[in-house]
Amino acid sequence: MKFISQDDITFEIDNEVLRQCTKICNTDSSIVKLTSTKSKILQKVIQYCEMHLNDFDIPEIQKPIKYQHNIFDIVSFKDAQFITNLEFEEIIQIIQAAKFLGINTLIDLSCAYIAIKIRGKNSQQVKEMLKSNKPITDEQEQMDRDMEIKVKK
Amino acid sequence: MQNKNIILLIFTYLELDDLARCELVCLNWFHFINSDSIQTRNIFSKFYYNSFQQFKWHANKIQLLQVKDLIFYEEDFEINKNDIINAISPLLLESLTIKLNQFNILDQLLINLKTLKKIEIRMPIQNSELVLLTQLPNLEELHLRIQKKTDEDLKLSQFHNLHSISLQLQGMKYTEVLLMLQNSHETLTELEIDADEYDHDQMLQIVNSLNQDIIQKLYIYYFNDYSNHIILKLSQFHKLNKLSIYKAQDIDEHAMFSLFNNKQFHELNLNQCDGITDQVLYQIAKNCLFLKYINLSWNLHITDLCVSILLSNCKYLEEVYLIGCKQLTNDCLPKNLHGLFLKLRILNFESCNNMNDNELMNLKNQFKYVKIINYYGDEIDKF
Repeated sequence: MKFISQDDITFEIDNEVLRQCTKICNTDSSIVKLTSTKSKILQKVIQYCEMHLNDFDIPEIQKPIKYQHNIFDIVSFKDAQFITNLEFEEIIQIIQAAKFLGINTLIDLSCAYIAIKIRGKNSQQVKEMLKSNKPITDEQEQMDRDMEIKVKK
Repeated sequence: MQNKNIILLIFTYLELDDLARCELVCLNWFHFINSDSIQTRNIFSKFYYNSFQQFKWHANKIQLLQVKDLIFYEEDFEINKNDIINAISPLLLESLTIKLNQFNILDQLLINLKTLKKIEIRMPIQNSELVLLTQLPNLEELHLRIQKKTDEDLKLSQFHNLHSISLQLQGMKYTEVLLMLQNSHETLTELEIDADEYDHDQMLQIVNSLNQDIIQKLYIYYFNDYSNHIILKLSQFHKLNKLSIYKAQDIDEHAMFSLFNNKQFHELNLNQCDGITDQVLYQIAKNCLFLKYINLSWNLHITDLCVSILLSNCKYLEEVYLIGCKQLTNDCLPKNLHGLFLKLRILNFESCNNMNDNELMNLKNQFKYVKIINYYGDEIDKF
């Protein structure tokens, strides 16, 4: 099986690793194109799958997460280490890729981590957290400029 | 962060306080929290309150979203009676779990909740309120978990055709309970009952009143006068898949044997039961391939061989309690662990003198997600 990322880099994947991708493992074609996933993100996702090669049925995280618990209390050590080493924006993209591939445990882990980051912050702090990590795309910049012009007029 | 599904998924992990703050982050998030989707309804269905502000905010939300299942616990503070009624009574609830510190609210609440299918009450209740419960046209499940003595004899016999009943309260009049079960004879599939006040003959009559063709779940708590007769009666319930007979003593092996003959159980609580020998356990291991939960605590007769057969045969086990099984040694773990313990979460060997910590540590290294408890009642550490 081959995965092709957005920037045309091909990843060869074992069938064993693929077992966790619930949406992909039953398809017949041997090439999957992930048009919205960069190679860097895909690499991380595959790293996660390889990490859990021998783990069957990872338990779900209980909702809602209690205040006194941090990420190391609710998931295994290697998972916590994996997720804390990632940037915020990377995690968002990983969730999207994981959703496409159907890796439910990875979605669970990443969402719980972001929830832990959000909790205890007031709305202003959450806004800052989101903004500081969000790269401004050309379109948005253009829109901002248009808005400024309108305001000036 | 524009994808609605991802954000809603993240919200499910947050508590009430944080959701209230998230609402203020941006207009998108405000719309997500107040949107009328099933996902949002689920987020808001289960909460405990610690302050009045929390309640007020939440009451607003559940009305806006038309929540269908609600768990409503009033903890250490008091909410104005009318506020509660105004918050809950306009909802079209299907299931309600309620615990309040004040009295005389339930009757006013119930007048409007005609769509209820399931109600669970965790506070003292009076006869006048029970009457209102009988008038709910769709009620199928009634759970009374009060655990306190009630002031008056509850008239339970007025209920008809319930599907599931839990009676965890003291001072229930025996005749009322029996009548209630007889009234639901045709429909009752699940029963949980506190039976500490009943003697042997009364229990036998209760068991006799159940419909042996449909009953699926039977949990008997605190009953201490079991006999072979009752167990043999239970063995006729051929659809039974969840059973709890805590402290069933003075039971012969052959009675237990017939209880587990040709039946597929999913949950079994056999804590402190007599008559669970290796042969009986072998029967369970052979028949119950889809067993999820088993509690064999303080069964002194069971040995390594049968526990290892049980652990290797039942591949879907989630929780296993072997507390105080003194005969068990390291050999009770199956030799070949490949493909086993797919769903296991808890494995408890508390007070098993002969279990070796090193062996359990080995097991922990192979199955990192399993919570393993050793002789001292400590969890085996991850590292």
